[in-house]
Amino acid sequence: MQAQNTITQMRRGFLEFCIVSLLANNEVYTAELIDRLKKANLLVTDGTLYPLLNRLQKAGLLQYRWEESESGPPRKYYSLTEPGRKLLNELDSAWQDINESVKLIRSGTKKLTKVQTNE
Amino acid sequence: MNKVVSIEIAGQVFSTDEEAYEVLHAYLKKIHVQLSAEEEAADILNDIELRIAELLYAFRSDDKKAISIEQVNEVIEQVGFIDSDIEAIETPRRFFLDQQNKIIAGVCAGLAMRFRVPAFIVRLIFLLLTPLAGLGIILYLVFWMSFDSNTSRNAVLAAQGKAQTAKSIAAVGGKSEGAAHQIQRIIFLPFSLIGALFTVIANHFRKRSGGYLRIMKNIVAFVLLGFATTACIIMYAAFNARVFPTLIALLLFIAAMYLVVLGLAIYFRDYYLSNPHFQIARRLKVGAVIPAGMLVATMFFLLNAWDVYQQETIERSYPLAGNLLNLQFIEDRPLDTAYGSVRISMKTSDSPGNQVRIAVDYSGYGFNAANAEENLRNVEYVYALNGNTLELNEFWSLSEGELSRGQRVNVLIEVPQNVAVRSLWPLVINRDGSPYIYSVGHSYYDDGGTYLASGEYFHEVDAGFRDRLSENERVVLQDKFCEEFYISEYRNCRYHIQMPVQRNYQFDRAFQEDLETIEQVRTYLLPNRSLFVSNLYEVNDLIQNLSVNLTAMSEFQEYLLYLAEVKLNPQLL
Repeated sequence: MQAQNTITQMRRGFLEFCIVSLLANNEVYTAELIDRLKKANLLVTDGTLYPLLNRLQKAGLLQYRWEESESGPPRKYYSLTEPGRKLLNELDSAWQDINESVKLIRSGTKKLTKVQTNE
Repeated sequence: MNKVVSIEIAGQVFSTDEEAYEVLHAYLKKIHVQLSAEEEAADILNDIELRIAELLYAFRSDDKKAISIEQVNEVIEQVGFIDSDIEAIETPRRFFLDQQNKIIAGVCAGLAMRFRVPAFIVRLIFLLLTPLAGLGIILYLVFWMSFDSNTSRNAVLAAQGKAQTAKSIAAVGGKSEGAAHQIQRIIFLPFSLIGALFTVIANHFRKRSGGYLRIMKNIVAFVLLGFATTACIIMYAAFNARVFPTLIALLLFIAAMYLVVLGLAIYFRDYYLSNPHFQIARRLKVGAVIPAGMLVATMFFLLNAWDVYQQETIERSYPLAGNLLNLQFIEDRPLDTAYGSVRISMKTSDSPGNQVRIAVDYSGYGFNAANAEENLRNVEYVYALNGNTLELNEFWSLSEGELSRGQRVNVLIEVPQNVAVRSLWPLVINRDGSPYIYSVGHSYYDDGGTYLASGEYFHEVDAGFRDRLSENERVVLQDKFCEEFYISEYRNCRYHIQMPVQRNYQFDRAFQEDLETIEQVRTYLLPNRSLFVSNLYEVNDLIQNLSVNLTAMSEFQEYLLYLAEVKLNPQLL
């Protein structure tokens, strides 16, 4: 039960990182975003994603534009804003630091490195 | 056969089974409720509807059939609920306000959910507890304040101790709008109105809380500044009052100033200013204990110092040459020590002879009788009788370096009969004395004059009063009138002389038949008209014509005639 809680928290944190990563180089529309996250086993239901996207957009990290679709309702294409790109870079280096720290600890090395968390 | 309905979702039109529509509708409603805590609920709901439309569109393109309930369930399973990817977490049972089934605030419904009993029973229990000294209402308020409000479905499940999965969330609250609940809504309508009112008021205050907070802060700041100013004035007065030796008074003054300044600084820094520029060191706050302790100790010391009251009267008699007494007042007030004003009063002597008696009454407080006596002996007061002139100091003072302990000085001068008193200050009759006592006090619009001691009265005998009655004489006249025509508690009449006789329930009914005559007499005595000696005879005539035959002359009538006599033949020097 405790593990499950931690896992949920971790997954939630990484979800934000993954969304920003997916948008790193190109515009992506919502359904595609959902598909790719589901394939990566990061998402169980679509409902979770929407409040998150909304929050990121309100924080000025994401922007979107509407595009008419030939088959079906109009699509919302998301892309990164300038602050979003900055966030991605910071999260990226933080992730690399954490990854290395975890590796170091798990490999049994006693040499400690200070984990740098960028704000 | 199935009925098919047309629905529009995110700008797209679909045809669905009626059953499928019901399920979809209920699902969207639940999502809406679940989102009600979210700020951008409308945007998120639009996104979700768009997603549903997208998924349904995929079904429609397959074939031309109406969308079935299975397909809708598939969509719901995929879209799920907000945050519903938390899988099978066992949550502790908790108390929540149930917003879905609430009547007032959802306390009863929340308790019912937690204990899995019908909400109706919980509501009845609260109602039955209310006659017991309002226990029901008190408990309700306590629960209301202590429970979290339950806006998300997850919270409902937490209250029921159930896992939060998409399916379990969908299953919650389905029966909330049942007939039983509808009936309860009707039965508890007054309570639900109260609840709605509270909600409206609470919402108002929540939305405007910033503004109200600013107003409150300003008011508190003003009140505090007012208090501080008052405190400084009181401290200054206390410092000058010689309650303590100079050094101790100075220390106490500093201690109190420190507390006032520190209190103001803490308030303005921590509560009034949003971005204070300086910090108040903790040491300064802790340091406040010492001055506070000093002041509290002072309080206890002073309570003891004022414990015993002592009084001492020193009486002296002086023979008066001739029939005139001159009263003069001097303002001899020392600057470096405490002082107080002296109360001077006069009365006529009932013993024969030509002695003026002067009684000086000292009083004061102390830790014990001996100390109190010592304190009152520290008072310095002098008066001098030179021939016919009595010189009185307006103030008493303390001997050098002595402390103030509530000392007071009263002077009573007893004047022999038929002596004229020439005073620079006016004599004002004190109605509560028996016999009458006249206080002598400084007045800005009255210069005093010459008074003749006669009987128990002092009569003004200056030229202006030869034919006219003075205010003091009118007061005595009113008193006699009240004593005569009103029942026992005549005092009440004296202070309500303006009230017509008919309306005063203390009017003596023995004079019922002469009510109008007596009313006429009363109007003579009112303070808004001058009374002349001739009026006294008119009043006397009215009294003589009363239908009640008085065997002896009444006191009122006696005084009328006595007054007329004195006014017309003053036995002047």
